[in-house]
Amino acid sequence: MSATTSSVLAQDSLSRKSLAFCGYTGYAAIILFIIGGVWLGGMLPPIPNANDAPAELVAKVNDNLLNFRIGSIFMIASFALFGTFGAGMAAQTRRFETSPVFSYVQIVFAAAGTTIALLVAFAWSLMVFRPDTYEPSILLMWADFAYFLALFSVPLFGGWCVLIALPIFFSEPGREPFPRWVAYVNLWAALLFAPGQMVIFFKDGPFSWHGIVAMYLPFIAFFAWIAVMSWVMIKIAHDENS
Amino acid sequence: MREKSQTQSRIPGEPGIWAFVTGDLLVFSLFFILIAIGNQEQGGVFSSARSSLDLRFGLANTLLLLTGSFFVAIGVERYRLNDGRDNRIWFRLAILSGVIFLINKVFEWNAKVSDGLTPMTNDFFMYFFVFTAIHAIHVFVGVVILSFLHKKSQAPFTRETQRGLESGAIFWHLVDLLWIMLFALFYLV
Amino acid sequence: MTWAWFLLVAVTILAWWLAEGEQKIAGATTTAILLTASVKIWIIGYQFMELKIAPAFLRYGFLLWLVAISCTLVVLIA
Repeated sequence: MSATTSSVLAQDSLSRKSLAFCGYTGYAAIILFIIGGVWLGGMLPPIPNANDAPAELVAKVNDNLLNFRIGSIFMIASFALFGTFGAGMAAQTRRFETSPVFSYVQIVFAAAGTTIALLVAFAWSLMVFRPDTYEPSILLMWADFAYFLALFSVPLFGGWCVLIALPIFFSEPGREPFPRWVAYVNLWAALLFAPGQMVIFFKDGPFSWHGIVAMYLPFIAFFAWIAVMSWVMIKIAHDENS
Repeated sequence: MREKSQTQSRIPGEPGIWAFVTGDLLVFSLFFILIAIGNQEQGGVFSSARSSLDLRFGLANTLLLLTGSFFVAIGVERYRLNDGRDNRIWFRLAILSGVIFLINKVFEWNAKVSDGLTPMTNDFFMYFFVFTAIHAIHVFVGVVILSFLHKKSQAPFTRETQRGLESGAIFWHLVDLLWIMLFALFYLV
Repeated sequence: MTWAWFLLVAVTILAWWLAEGEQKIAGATTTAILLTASVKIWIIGYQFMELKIAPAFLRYGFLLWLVAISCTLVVLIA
């Protein structure tokens, strides 16, 4: 790992534990989403489609009502942990800033990202709350809302990745908050999120919110990114020299 | 062409940039394959859509990026020579080529849209607009990186700065490379 | 470096000429165009990105990718 000029962490066992904790919450977020979004909730693979007729969506929702409802609970638990995950990365960045700037920026983006994610779970839960009372097109809007929040927010989530990479590039070599390869992985993650911005133009095909390029790619990349960054945080926390 | 200092093999730039290049190539390979599948399944639509593309825009853009890459390569080489000359001009020229590319792209998109051709017209134009847009973002990022390189090229020679310049240059060449394939798939085939 | 650029421009013009011309054998022109693209990409990688001084694994890895994607595209399109 990076050479040490700040030996604070080495002697500070609370900081170590805290950073490791944040890393583990990242793993937890992934597992909770696999339960809530993949297995039960029908978000990935998407059970709704962007080109569903409203009546079709109502039928799909009614067919999966209980699963979607329980899934929403797991999803909101998952997304709340984006906060701890993000704060951990900001804290690690902070350790290498004498006058903090990027750690503040990261906190802002982590908070925004967590809020957006929470809204995704809210939208999903409202979609399945009273599907026969709402106009069918309102259900469609909740589905649209959920996926737009997740996918159309590239400057936020992609930006977050860039703002993790930049302080690494700007640091003196050897004094980087994370190893340089982490910066490149974050840039690649941002690239993989980028196609999500296209969902506004298409209701079918690879660039729609149920599409291979605009949905699967960013979603999978996002959780892979969480996995990698969590691993890095845990490694730094346990590394005696950091 | 080989400088004496480079008889041993070494990774140009830093390993991380190659990891990024690999990732980007994989993503764009997916894009290329999608275009090709579209071409296979909707050959008629694709070839008539293709014929409404203005080859001049595409050709100009290709030449712009190739020339930009050329300038960047010279700039990096000159920096390595460390003979006290001001190498910034090369990066400025490359930035210029990138900027003109982007302006060109905007004109081209505009022309298509005024003709009623949008991302929603058919699958060819869906791919065309989306992938050239994603590529254009790369060009934009490349121009930003070039402006960093422009500044760095003034710095006194260090191995570190050399690697930084090489890494930035490699990204720019990647941008060029991706366009070559997009040009072939969208305009020529 | 300079000759690489001239070569790249020349190949570009060649490909353009191929595209503008009539397709006597449809598949052949398409394949030729994709090959010119591959050649150009190789030159960019080898010369500009300096794979020529890079360790073999990097150079051959790039070549492997290039061959794989070119073959895939030729099979799909031509």
